[in-house]
Amino acid sequence: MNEFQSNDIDRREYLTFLLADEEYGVDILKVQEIRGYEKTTRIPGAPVFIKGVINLRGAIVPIVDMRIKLALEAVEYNEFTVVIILNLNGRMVGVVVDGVQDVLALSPAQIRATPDMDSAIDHRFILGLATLEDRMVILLEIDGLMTSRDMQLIDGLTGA
Amino acid sequence: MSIDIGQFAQVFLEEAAEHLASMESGLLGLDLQAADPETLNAIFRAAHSIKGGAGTFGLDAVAEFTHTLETLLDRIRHGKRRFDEACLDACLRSVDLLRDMLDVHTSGGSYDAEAAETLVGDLQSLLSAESSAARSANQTGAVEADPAPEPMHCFDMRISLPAGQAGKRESVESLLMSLAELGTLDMLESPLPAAGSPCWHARFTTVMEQSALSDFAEFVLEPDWIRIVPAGADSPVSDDNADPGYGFFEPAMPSVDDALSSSVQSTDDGFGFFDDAPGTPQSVVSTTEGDGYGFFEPIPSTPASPDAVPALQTQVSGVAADEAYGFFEPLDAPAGAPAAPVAASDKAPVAEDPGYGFFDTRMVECDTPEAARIRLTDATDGSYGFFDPVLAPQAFAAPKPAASGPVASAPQKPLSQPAPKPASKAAPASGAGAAAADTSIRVPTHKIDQLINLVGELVITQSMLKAAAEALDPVLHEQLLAGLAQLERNSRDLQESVLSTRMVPMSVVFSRYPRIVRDIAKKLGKQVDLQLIGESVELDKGMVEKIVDPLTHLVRNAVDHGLEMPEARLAKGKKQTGTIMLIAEHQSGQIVIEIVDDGAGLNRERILEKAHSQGIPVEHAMPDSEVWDLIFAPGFSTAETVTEVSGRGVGMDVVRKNIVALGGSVHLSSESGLGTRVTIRLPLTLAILDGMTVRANSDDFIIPLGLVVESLPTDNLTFKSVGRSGLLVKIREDYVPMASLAGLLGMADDAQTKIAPVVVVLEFEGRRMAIGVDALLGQQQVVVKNLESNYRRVQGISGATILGNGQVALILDVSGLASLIQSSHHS
Repeated sequence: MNEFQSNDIDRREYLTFLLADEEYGVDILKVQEIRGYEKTTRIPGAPVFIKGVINLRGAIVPIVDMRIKLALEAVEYNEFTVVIILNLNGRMVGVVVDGVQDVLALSPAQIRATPDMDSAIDHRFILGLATLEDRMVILLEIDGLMTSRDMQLIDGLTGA
Repeated sequence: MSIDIGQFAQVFLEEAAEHLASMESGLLGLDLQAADPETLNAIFRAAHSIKGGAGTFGLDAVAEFTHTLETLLDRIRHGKRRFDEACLDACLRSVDLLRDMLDVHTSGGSYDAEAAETLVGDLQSLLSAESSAARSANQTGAVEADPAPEPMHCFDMRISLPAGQAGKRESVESLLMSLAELGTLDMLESPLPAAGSPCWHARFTTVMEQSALSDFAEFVLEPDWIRIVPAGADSPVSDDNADPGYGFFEPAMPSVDDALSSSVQSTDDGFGFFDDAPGTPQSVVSTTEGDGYGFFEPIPSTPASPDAVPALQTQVSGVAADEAYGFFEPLDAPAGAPAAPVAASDKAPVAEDPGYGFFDTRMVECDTPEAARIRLTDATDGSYGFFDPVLAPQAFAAPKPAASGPVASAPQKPLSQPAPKPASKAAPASGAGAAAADTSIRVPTHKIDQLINLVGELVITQSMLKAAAEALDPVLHEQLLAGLAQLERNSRDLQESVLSTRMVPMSVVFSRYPRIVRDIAKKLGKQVDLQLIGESVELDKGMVEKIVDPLTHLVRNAVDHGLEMPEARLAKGKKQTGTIMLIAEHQSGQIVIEIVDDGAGLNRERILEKAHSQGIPVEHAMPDSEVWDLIFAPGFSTAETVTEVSGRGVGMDVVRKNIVALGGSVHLSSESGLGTRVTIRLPLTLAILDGMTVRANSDDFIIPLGLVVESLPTDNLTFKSVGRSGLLVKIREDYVPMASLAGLLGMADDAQTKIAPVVVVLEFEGRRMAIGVDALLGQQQVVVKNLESNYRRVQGISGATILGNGQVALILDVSGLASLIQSSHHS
C-alpha cells in the first residue's frame, strides 16, 4: 500500500472552531460562509438554543447556539462571536461558535475512533478524533447532527 | 430504444401535451347531434401536428398510432363518418393512450401495448363501419340526454356549375356517385352533355346533417355552386339542439353552410350587417319563427355575383333568444349592442363587450363579401372569441385564448366583477399567454421565480432606502427624497407586473374537470351537467398545482356522494341530470372557488353519528356550520364503502390542510335535499402580502391586513375572564375571545400581567378574535418568505419577511392563532 497515495486521495478538509475549550471540526464543503453575530428575530416555540432567524441576503436562516445546546459555560455575544453558516443539501443553518481556527486537511489514517467517554454530543454524530501535535479535534458529522430530532430544526421530528 | 431527447424534442413533448389537452376538451365539447366542424377540424389538426412531430423525432409508435386516429378524425370531419358515442369514447381513449406513450419519453416506464392494440382495432372498426348504419348513441355522462331519435334528413340539392367550370362536371358526377352511397339520391334533373353551365337537381335522403353534407360537397365544389336546402317538414329541426354558431353565422348570402361557424366557409361574412354598405350584396333571408332574432328581415335580393345562386333560407338553430345575449336586438346598432348578460345569468360568463369588439371594426372595412371573408379569416382566433363563454358548460380549455383575436376590446370577465387591479391588468396578458402561439413565449418557471425573487429584493432595498431617508431634512434633500418616492412607485409597479406573469387563468385548473366528471358519472351511472364559471379569473401559478388535488377530491365527492342517481332524483321531483357548478371569482383581495351541487345535501344525522362513533364530542343542538366542520376531522368519511372514486380517506382533512397551507380557508354549507356548496378562499398571490406591523414585547410581527377588522386601545374596554386563562373583551355589544400575542406565542416576559395596551380584532372564518399587542407600528406590503425552507413549521406563524431595516419579521398565521386561542380558552 502506498501510504502517500492513499492519504492524498482520501484527504478531506475540515474547518475547525472552538466551543469553550473544545475544538471541533466540520467538513469544509458544508460551510457556506462565516459571519459575525447579529441580532436575530426570535421564533415562538423555539428551544432556548435556537436564537432565532436572520436575514441572509434574502434568505431566512435559523441560528443555533451550540454553546447553549452543549451547556458549556456562560455565553456572551460580542465582536468576537462568530457564526458559521452551513449549507446542508440546500438547507441553511447558522451555528454560533466561540471562534474559528483553521482549515485542516486530514486523511482517514489521522482520524481515530472516538473513545468511550461521556460527551455532550451524541457519538452518532462524531466522525472521530483527530490528533495533531497537542490538539485534539472532535470531528462532527454535521449533517446528522443538525437534522437530528434533538436540534428541532426539522419538521416532523419535533413532535410539535 | 432510448431516444436522445434534444432541446427541440422537449418542446415537441410540451406542445404535444397541449395538443392532447385541446383535443380532449374539444372532444368533450362536441355535441354528438351536431358536431361543430370547426372543432372537428381543430381536433384533426392537433392530431396531425402530433403525428408530424412524432415522425420527426423518430417516435414511430406514436406516429403510427396517431395516423390511425387521424384517419378516423379526417373521415369524421368530412362527414363520411358520423361522430357518435363510440367514436367519442375511442377518441378519448386514444388521447389517454397518446399521453401514456408520450409520458414514456418524458419520464420513462412503459405504456400498455395490449390496450394500444385493442384501441387500434376499435379505431379500425369504426373506420370501416358505414356511417349510415351508425345510430344516434345513447347519451350518458357529461352530455345532456337527447331524447329525439336520429332523424333522416331530406335535402333538396341544386348544383350549378358556372360557365367556364364545365370541366368540373366529372367531379360533380363522382360526388353524386359518392352521395348515392351515403343515402338515397333521387336525380330530378341532369344536365345535357353539352351544357355550358350544367345544372343538377336532386333530392337526397340521408342521416347526414346538412353541415356534413355541405362539407362533403365542398371538397369538390365551390360553395357558390351548390345549394342544399332541407326538404320536408322537419327541416329546421335537425340542428336545433346545438347550433354552435348560435345563429351568428347564418348564411344570409348564397352559401352551402347553414348555421355553422367557420371563418372560411361562411360566405355571408357580413352576417347581414353590411346590408347598407355600398357594394355589399343584399341578402335574402327567410326565417323560421323567431330564429332570426328579428335581425335577418327579408331584404330584396340582388345576387352578389353572376354565378350566385339565389340565397338560401337560413337554417337557424333553436337556441333560445336569450342565449344570443341580446346580441341581435337593435338592427342598426351593430357596434356591439349592449348585451343582456342577465339572460345568460346562471350559465356561462358573458363578455362585457358582447360584440366582442368584433363588429365594430368589421363594420368599416367590408365592401365586398370577398373582403369580408378575408378580414374574417385574418382573425387569429377562428372562433372570434364567440365560443368561449357560449360553449360552457363544457367550455374549451386554456388553449383557446380567452380573449378574441386582435380585436379584444375588453378582457372577458366573469359575471361577477373582478375587483383588484392585477386581475384586470393581467387579463390581456393572460389572453396573450394562453397558448396563442404568436403572442406568447414559453418561459421555464424557475426563471420567473428568480425574477420575482430579485424584484422582491429590490423592493426590500428600496424600503431600506426609504427608512434611511426618513432621517434626512426634507428641504435640504428634496431631490433625493423625490427620487426615492419615484423609486418606490417604480418598484411597486415592477413588482405587480412581474407577479402578474405568474398569474394563469382558472381554466388551467378547471379544464381537467369535464373529463373527470364525465368519466366518474359514467362509471357511477349518474347524469351530470358540469358548469365552469369564471374561467378567466386568474391565480398564481404556484397555487395551481396545489389547488388541483383538493378540488379534484371535492368534485369527485360531489359526483359520488352529493348527486343522487337519476331515478332517485326523478323520484324527488328533480331533473334527472344533476348540476355541478365550479365557480371562481375575485372577492375583496381573495380568490373564491366554489363547488356547488344540487344533490342530496349533507346528512346531518349521519355526520353526528359518525363523529360520535369516532369519539369526537358532539351535541345534538350544534349549529349546522359546526356539524359540517366535523367532516374535516381526520379519517372522517360517512361513505359506507370505499368506492374506486372516493371514500379512500384522502379525506376532507387533507383537503383542508392543503388549502390552509396555501393561506386559504374552506367552508361547507348545505341544505338537505337541495345540495351542497363548498367555498374555498385563497389569497391572490403567495408572494406578497398587505400587512399590519405590530409589536409584542420587543418582537415585531406582521398580521395579514385582510383579516384585520379594527384595532382599539384597551383602556376603556371591559374584560371578562373565562375559565383559568381565557379572556373575553367587550367590543361594542359583543364579547370576543382575546389573548395577548406574546402570551399566545409563548414569548411573554413572565413579568407581563397587565392587559396589552392595544387590541387588534381579527375575523377568520366568520369568527372574531382579539389579539393584544403593545403597539401598532404601521401598515406595509411585504414580500413573503418561506420559514420552512430552512426551519420547521411553527404554529401561529405562516412565514417571514424582511423589513426595511433589514430585520426579519414573522408573519402571523391567523388560523393557527385562532386554534391557539381556542385551546387556551378551553383549558
